[in-house]
Amino acid sequence: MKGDRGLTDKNMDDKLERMLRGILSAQEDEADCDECFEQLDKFVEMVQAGTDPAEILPRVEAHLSWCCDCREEYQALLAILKSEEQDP
Amino acid sequence: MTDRTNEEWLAHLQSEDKAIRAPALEDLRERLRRGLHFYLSRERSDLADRPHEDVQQMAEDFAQDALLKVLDNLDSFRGESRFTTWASKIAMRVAISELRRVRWKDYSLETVTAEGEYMPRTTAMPASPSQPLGPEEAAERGDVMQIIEEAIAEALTDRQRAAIVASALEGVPLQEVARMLDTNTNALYKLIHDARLKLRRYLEAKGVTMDYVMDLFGSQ
Repeated sequence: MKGDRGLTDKNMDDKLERMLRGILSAQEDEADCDECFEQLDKFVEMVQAGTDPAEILPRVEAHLSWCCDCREEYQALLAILKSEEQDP
Repeated sequence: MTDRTNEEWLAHLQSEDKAIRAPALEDLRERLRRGLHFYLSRERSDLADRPHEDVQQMAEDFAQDALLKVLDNLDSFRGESRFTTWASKIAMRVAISELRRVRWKDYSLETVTAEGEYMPRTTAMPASPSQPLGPEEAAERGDVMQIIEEAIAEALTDRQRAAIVASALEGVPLQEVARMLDTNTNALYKLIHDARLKLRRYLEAKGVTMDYVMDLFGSQ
C-alpha cells in the first residue's frame, strides 16, 4: 500500500464505492454518450411526468448511472424544466 | 411568449415570411436565455462569486450560440419531446461544455494523473462532513483498493489507464479527458467502456463482485 490515502474518510469511501459500482456494472452492450444525448429530452420529460424512465429507456438510465458528463447535463435539463413548470 | 406546438415551432423558424420567422427566433432565444440564466445563477456554485452582469451576459452569449445550433439541427428533431425541451437540451450542452473547457483548459494529462497516486486525498467530489471509519472497515477498504490498483496497473493499456485514472479517480469530465488524449468524447467513452469490462473481469476473478461490494458498503 502506498501510504495513507485517506482511507478513513467517508468522502473517499463514497468515491471508492461509486468507482466499484461503475466498474462492476459494466455490460458488453451499453448506450454510449451519443445515444444517451439523443434520448435525453425524451428521458427528462418522462422523469418530469413521473413515469419511470428505467422501464422505457433502460439503456439511458444505465448510462446516466455511471457517466458523470451525461448525468450533469441530465440534471441541468431537469432543473430547467422544473423551473419552467413553476414559473412559465 | 406565444406557446407554439412542435409543428408551429418548426414551421415558424423556417418560414420565409420574416414577420413569422423573426418573432419565433426571438421567442426561442428568450426562452433559452431564461433557462440558461436560471441554470447559471442557481445551479452552478462555481459561478456564485461572479457579478450578476457577468452571469447575465453568459446566459445571453450561450443562448445565441445555442440558437444557431438549434437552427442548424432542426432536421434532427424527431418530435419525441417538446421542441423547447429538445432545444434546451442543446443549450445546456453548449453552456456546460464551455464551462468545462474553461475550467480545465490549463490542465494536461500529466497534471491530473500523478504516477501511483490513484486515490488522492483531495477529490473532485462535493464537500460533505467526513466521518471516520473503524479500523476493520478501513483495513478491508485497503485490501479492495490494493486489488483495484493491481487491476488498473495490469489489465489496462496505458491509454485506458490514463483515461480511467483521470475520469473515475480525479473527476475530470470525459469531454476534457478526450481533449487531453486528443480524441472525442464518444471514442473516449468506448475506450473507458472496454477498460471497465477488463477491470470487472479482473476484480470478479479476485472475488470482488457486486455482492461483495454491497456487503462491504451495506446494500442499497
